[in-house]
Formats: sequence, C-alpha cells, structure tokens
Amino acid sequence: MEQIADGIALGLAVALSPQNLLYCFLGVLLGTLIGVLPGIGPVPTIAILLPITYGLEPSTALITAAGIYYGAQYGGSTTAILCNLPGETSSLITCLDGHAMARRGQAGAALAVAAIGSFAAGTVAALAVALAGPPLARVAAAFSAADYFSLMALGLIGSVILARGSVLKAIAMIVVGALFGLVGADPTTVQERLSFGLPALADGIGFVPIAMGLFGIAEIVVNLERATGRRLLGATIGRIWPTRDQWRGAAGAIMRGTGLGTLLGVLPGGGAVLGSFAAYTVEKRLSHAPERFGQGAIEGVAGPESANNAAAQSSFIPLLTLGIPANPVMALMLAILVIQNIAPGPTLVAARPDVFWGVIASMWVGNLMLVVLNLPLVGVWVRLLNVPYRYLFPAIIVFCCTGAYSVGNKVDDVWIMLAFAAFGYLLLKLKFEAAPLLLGYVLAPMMEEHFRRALSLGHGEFAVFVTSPISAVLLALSVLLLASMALPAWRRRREAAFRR
Amino acid sequence: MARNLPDLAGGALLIALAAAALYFLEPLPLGTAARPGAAFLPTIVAALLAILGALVLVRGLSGLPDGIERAHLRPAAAVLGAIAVFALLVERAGLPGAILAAVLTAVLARPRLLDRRSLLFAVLLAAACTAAFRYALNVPFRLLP
Repeated sequence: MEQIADGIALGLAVALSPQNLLYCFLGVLLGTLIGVLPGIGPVPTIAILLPITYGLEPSTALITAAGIYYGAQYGGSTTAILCNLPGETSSLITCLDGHAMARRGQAGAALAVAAIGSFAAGTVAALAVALAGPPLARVAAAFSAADYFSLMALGLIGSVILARGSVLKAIAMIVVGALFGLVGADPTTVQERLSFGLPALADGIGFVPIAMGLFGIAEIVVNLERATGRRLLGATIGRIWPTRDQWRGAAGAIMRGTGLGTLLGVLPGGGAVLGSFAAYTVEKRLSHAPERFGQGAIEGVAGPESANNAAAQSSFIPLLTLGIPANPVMALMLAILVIQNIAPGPTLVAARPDVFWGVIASMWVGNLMLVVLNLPLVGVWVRLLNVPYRYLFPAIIVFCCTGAYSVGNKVDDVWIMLAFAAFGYLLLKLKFEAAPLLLGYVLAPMMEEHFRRALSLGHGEFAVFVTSPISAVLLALSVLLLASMALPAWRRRREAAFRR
Repeated sequence: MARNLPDLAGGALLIALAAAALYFLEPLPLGTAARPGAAFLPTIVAALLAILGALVLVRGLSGLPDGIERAHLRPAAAVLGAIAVFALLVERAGLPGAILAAVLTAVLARPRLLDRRSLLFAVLLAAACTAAFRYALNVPFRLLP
C-alpha cells in the first residue's frame, strides 16, 4: 500500500512537471482536434501525430501519446453526439442516444455528461491500474520464456475473438503482420532475411510508415471514393450543464459504466468497444423505462461513455505490466516505448518507475484536461467539423509524408509508407481488418525472442511449451478459444453481439 | 454461381504473399530447433499463412456470395501519386517545394479542386509544416532546391 502511495506521489511529480503538463495538454488538444475530424479514430490520430513524440523523454513521449488517445476518443464521442458520426467503434453506441439528445436540443448536456462521466471513469480506472499493476508485474516476473511465448499467443488469439468481422481473416492478418515484423536482420545470427538487400529494410520495416500507410492514407483513399457531401450539424448545442433530473439519471450509469469498462478493458481485443456495448445493455436492462433508449436517454450516453474511457485506461494494465498490447492503440504505445529503447514488461515498474507511475498519474491529469478543454471549447470543435474535406485530406497526406520522413530522415520510409498505403487500400477492398496486422507485427519480434530462448533452454525440444505448467495452461486456453470459435452456436452469438 | 469474391481474391493474395516469402527464405539457413537459423520462425509463419490463405480461398468458394466494392482509379492514383511526388522531391527540391507539389497532386483526386484556393492552401501548409518540422522539431530538412 505504502509502495503504491509512494508510486502515485512520484507519478504526480512526473506528470505535473511543467514540461509534461504542457505536452499532456498539447496531446489532448491535438488529439481532440484530429479526432473530431470525421472518420478519423484514435489509431490514425495517434499514427498521424506520432512525430511529435520523437525527440521527447520516454515518459513525456508516452504521456503525450496517451493524451492524444484520450483526446481522440473524446473527439469521436463529440462527432457521435453532434453528427451521428462515430469516430471509432467504441463511440458507435453513443450515437443512439447522444445524437437523439442533440436532435432534441440537448447536445450540450450530452457532451457534458460524456466529459464528466469520462473524467469520473478515468479517475477510478487510473487508480485500478495503480493498484493492479505492481502485483501483476510481480507475478509476471516469474514467467519463463516459454510462458511468455504462450501468453502472447493467447493474447493474439483473444484479440481476434473480440475484434469485428471474420475470425479466419483476422487470424490471417495477424500472421501477415508477424511476417512483416520478422523482416530484417535476425536478432541472433544478424543474417538479413526478406530484406531484398535493401538497406531500408535491414533493421526491419519501420513501425511509423506501416501505421501511417495502413491507417492514415488507405482510409483517405476510401473516404474520397465514397463520401461526397457531409451532413452538417443542424441542432443547437443548448445548455451545457445538465439539469438535476439528468444528473440523477446519469450518476448511477456513470458508476456502473466505470466498473464494467475497467474490468473489460483488461481483456485483449476491443476492450473499449466491449465496455461501451455492455454498459449500454446493462443500462437498458436496469431502466424502468427501457423504451426511452434510442430516444435520447441520458443513461444511454453516460454509461457507455464512462465505460469506454475506463476501458481505454485499464487496457494499459497488460501493456505496462506484461508488455503485451491488448489492442491496436496499445500496440502503438508499445512501439513508442520501443522507439525510446524501453522494454515494457514486468521489469518496467522497477526499472523505470518514472515512466510507469508518470503514465498513470497523467491519465488522471489528461482526463481533467479533457473536461477543462472540451466543455468551454465545444463551439470550436463544432466549427472544426465543418472543415471541408478538400483541405483536410491533402493536409493529412502531407503530415504523414513529413512525419514518416522525420523518423530517421530517410526517404525510404516515405516509399514504405506508400507501399503500405496501397496494401491497406487493397485490404479494405477485400474486407480484411488491418488492426490485427498491427498487433502481429508488433508482437512477432518479441515472440521470436522468447521462442528462441525457450527452445535453447529446452535443448531444442518443443515439449518445453507444455512441460511448464503456466505455459501449458495458457496454450490450452488458446486452443480452447480457437475451438470454441469453430462452434456454430458460439459464432452466431458473437455475430449477434456485434450487430447490437 | 454464387461466390464470395473478396474471400477468393484475399485468399489468393495471402497465398501469393506466403509463396513469395518462402521463395526468398529458401536460400537462408533453417537451423535446428535447438539452434534456429535466420529462416526458422519466418518459414513457420509463412507456411501458416499459406494454410490460412487456402482456408480463406476455400471459404470464398462456398461462403455467402459477395462482390468487391468498385475501385476508383482517380482518388487512389492521386493520393498515392502525391506521396510518390513528395518522396521524389523532398531531398532534391527541399521540403516546401515537395509539400507544394504533393498537395497539388493530391487535389487531383476529385474533379475541379485544382484552383486558386488549393494553391493558396498548399502555400500555407508548406509554410506551416516547414516551421513545425524544420524549426520546432529540428528535423534537418533541405529547404531549397
């Protein structure tokens, strides 16, 4: 307990340093700015803004990126409420009642409840990360290489179940990502593989050009093909501060959403998505008047919005303690740490307490900033929604090009981004989700390392993966998950759940 | 004959990727399980990919019929072209010039966007990006041709 109090004190000292405070603010501001733009969710937002973090200290870099994440997510909720356009799947559910409230002239109250609910959820979830992190890291420290390999395999398979779309195609995308992740010099023998003798590929394919190409650029091409006009906001914002009645309805929903989101966020896969869907269902079940849902029930905004923010934060738990990203956003965070030469995992708490506790404290600070920033500035965000796409898309292209170049001052990275933009476009056309690819790409080099170490410790016997009890259980779970997905009954339920 | 075209084409794409990887991995040492060579894990991964590709392909033959959304050449060519223009110019003409050219290529994605307003926007964006990256983030970009 004392150790955690010390940790939180250290974290606050890190997060409240003028520089980190400034960058956290900058992250939240820019994240909201980009995230509020239609069709741009947290993953492309972070990918586009990644260059900001290059020259920074590790803790500052992660704090900035986390700020961008919260900002982008809130930006997505803003567009969901005002324009019925979810920035990403976790704010999909907010459209239902949030936009209904906006149509009834209560957009202000909906935005306020979303912001305040997110803040309350963020406070609780940050505390949960602080409490659960260190003990979990101690457990994970006892893991052998084989256990780690199996844990990562389980994480990857788990992330597929909760992802949308076809399971088979998602697994295929993970494997494609893994193949891309293994390009470049072999870590032990230093022999180059799949690099075609190109110096640009000798150290592997860069993370930034992949993320920007797949998520930033490919999306633009598809948007340009589809959308012509954009729905502009007709409704007024209305009064911001919710009425007493609205508060009464929202308070319970915020608490329940926070609890659900915190728990579900730890799971691999779409933690925030699952949290918001579950919270909406629970609110509707508990309500005395379920028929109000879809007509602008404030609980239908408060619950899911609290849940997705809580989940956004608790999904940091597996990353900070095990070094395993639960979803693509966390894969981006992991990449930022790796760029900074920090190995996330059980040793992080002890080796870099400033990073670990600084990030936790900045969650709280970042959420406070969201409230302070968003409520008074709602009018500005609304106007941003009306920025014509004709200016938006060239700006994003230029920012991605410049950003990709600045990672290592190499023109080759721009070409790689171009290749992945084309590949991402192809994937979208063939209805493959690019998100699992990113997870596979990030985890493959780490899995290879553990795989090798496990085999060499086990004298080349593959049995080492089942003789260790932890690894055996984890692998059994993975197989069970895979088998369950093949069952038709399970598959139907999963599809029904995603159809809401 | 009802076929799922995205799955058919996707499966073929995955198999082609796997085949290409296996071809280029062939000359590299596999090693043994106790001492894996550079090609050990990548070969396993590529083989797995080939199997998954075959499964997707088979599903495409039997699954729900579906078509591939029509691809439009113009937006794709303009956006990808803009990136290529940037890559070609950034080290030769300098950052502002590359941005200018990239924006003017990108706006070709839609008809009638190449006008005075786009030109003005390109100039503003070039100035802003140069200020942000060259001076605020200290990236050593070339400024002039």
